[in-house]
Amino acid sequence: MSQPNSHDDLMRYLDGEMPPDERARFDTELASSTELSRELAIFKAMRADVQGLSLHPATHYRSVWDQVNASVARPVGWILIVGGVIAWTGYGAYVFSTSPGDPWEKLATGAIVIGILTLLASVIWERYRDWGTDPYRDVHR
Amino acid sequence: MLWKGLERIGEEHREILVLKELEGFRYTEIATILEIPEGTVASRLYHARHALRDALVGMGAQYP
Repeated sequence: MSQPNSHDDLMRYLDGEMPPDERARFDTELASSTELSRELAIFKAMRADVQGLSLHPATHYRSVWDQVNASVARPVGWILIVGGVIAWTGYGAYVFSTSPGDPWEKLATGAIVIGILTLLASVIWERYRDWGTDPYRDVHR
Repeated sequence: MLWKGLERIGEEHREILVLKELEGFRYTEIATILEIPEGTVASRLYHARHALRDALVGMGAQYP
């Protein structure tokens, strides 16, 4: 059984954190310990696999539909949705403001609606901001 | 399978493995980020890698 100190040295050796003289000494230790050599081989293989994972956008193949979706379909979809929401909101506000009724009721209702919309916009903005700075958003699983 | 293995190990293990293997920080930087002594980094990495290996082997992976 290898000793705890050897475990730490093994990690430092594997990760290139060992000065050359210590490294030479550890090479000798490795040569005399089958268990350490075996662990080193395992950790090297595993490290290569883990480092193959990506935290950044992969340069993977994008189909024609992927490109059309990203450059045309999504922007058009968002423009239509936002345009529709603005149109309906404007029309609703116009109908609401010109309809007969108690001004205080209108004021209170208007305040609630504006409050809800403000909160919604605030949450959407926060999510958008967090997404923009999230280093793991492009992790490919 | 690797992501599943990383999900199975503890948060402390995953954290240090991500900093080392994916972000590529050196031991001194990891020690600063995690606010632990530099000497602890190697030890914690050993246990994290061991835990990951156990998790992967438990899922059928083969390592030499």
